[in-house]
Amino acid sequence: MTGPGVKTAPEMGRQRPTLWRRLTGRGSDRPLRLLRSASIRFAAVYAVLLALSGFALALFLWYETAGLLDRQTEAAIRADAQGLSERWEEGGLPALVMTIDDRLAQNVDDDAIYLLVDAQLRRIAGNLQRWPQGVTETNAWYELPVQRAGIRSLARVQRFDLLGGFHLLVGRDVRVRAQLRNLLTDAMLWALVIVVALASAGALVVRGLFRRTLANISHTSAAIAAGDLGQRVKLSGRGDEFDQLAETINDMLERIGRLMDGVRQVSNAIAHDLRTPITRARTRLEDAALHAGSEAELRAAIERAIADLDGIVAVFQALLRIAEIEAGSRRSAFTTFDLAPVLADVGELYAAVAEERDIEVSVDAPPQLPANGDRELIQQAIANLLDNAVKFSPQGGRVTVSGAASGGGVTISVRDQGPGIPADELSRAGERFFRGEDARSTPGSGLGLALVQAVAHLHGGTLRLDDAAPGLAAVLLLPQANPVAAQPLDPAGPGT
Amino acid sequence: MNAMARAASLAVLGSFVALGPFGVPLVNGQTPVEQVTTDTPEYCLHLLQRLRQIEQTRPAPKDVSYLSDEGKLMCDHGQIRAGITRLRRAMQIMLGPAER
Repeated sequence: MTGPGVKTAPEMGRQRPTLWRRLTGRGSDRPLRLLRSASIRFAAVYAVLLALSGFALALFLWYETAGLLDRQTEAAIRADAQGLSERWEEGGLPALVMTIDDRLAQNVDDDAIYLLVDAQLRRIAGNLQRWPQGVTETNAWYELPVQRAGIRSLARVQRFDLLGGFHLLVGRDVRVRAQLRNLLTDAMLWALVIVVALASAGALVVRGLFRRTLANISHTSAAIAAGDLGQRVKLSGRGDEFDQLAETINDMLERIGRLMDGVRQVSNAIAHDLRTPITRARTRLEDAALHAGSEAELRAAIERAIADLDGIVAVFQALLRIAEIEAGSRRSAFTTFDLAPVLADVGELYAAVAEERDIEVSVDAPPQLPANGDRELIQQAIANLLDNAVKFSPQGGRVTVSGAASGGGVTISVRDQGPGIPADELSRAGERFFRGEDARSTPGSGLGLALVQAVAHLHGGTLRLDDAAPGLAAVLLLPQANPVAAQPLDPAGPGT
Repeated sequence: MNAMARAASLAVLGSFVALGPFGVPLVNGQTPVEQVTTDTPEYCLHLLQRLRQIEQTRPAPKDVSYLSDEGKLMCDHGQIRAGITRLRRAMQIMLGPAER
């Protein structure tokens, strides 16, 4: 059947109530945000925990107050019944009847309930007219509606069965206690309502706080992803876990910024500093091609160009070496070794070179100097320092290499008597391709100290450049990663 | 919440509703209200008679006479519960504290 207002089966099948679609996410092209939201989950956990805590507290208070009243009543009834039982055992039925009568006669509080009946439930003694319906079990508590002088009340009673088929009912009027219990119950229920309301409000606050904090981090990350590397996550100043997370992210961003600056700097330096030798090699080859008069001249020009290109290759190799060191992959090759022979070997090698310029190289180190790290890299770092010291020492000067254990680590110092580094250039001396004003006339690529810096950082140590007055003191501090007290030293190091 | 936990929660809630707090069976609303027989004028007379019987066996202190007279007066004037309370106090004095 078709017509206006009549939906077809497919149309009916496609339609869903809006609320249903929002709750289940069916038929919607948006994700089920509410239940998937972490802030909603946190808020819900907070609300549930608070409500449960409030409920537990209310239960405890209820048990301690209204429950205590009930327990007191039950204890009084049991004690009363125990006394009656003893009278029954001592004097039988007549004694029990008289005792019940006496107790009722002295019940000034007017709250006692007694009823003694025979096997046919005929009343023998007590202040109830008949055995109440529903009171069938012994050792069970019953709450019985009673009427006293026209006023309706409530009694808590228990049944006791006696020998001979007699049944005894003992109880207490609990109307006042019941009223108090109702008051307490009402108060507890209202308290629970308030707790639920507070939990809901608190959950909203928690959710808002959570969302605001994460939004801060999220916005900053989005801005950085868009290219604004200067953005940083704001700190609240409270020093809490969110601030710690923000600080960690900011530290990471700082490091990324430095690395990118380093890359930019290296690219610029490569373009600037390597263009010169490449251009020189090209010019020499071009000149030789155009103007060389003989094969010997041509060969000499080619050899000079090869030397220039070798220098360029050496620079790239040094750059790659520094990159490898900074990547940290060499840390897996760390081992404990004796640094003393390394100092002696490097000192001996450069002593031979320094002798040509009448420069004295001395090594001052203990017989054994345990160190932990990459032996080859540390050796290269010392060689770089010694190379610089010899290069910049005046003729007849002195270079001192010393090594000592200090503060659980190792200190390696190389001192020369050269011109040193001006104070305003000291902080930049470890940068790639940096050449001080006084060093521009000296051969070198400006990567030596950068490599030493990278080796120091890899080992968790530092490179410090001090004014030796005169000259420069380069101090390489390497911490001890592992205690070496009882470990045998490997003078050869890894890979030998 | 899995099926078992849900069933257990419902069972606890149901027992709470059926038994009331602390599992005390409630004699339901259909049960007739039981009359307590010790809040009636007849019981007032019964207490007075008992007091008179006891007074015959030993002398009554002044308090007992006062309380019993006052109790009788109150019962006569329709203040049954108050009168019975005074007579019970008199009985307490005459008999001593009730054994429990």
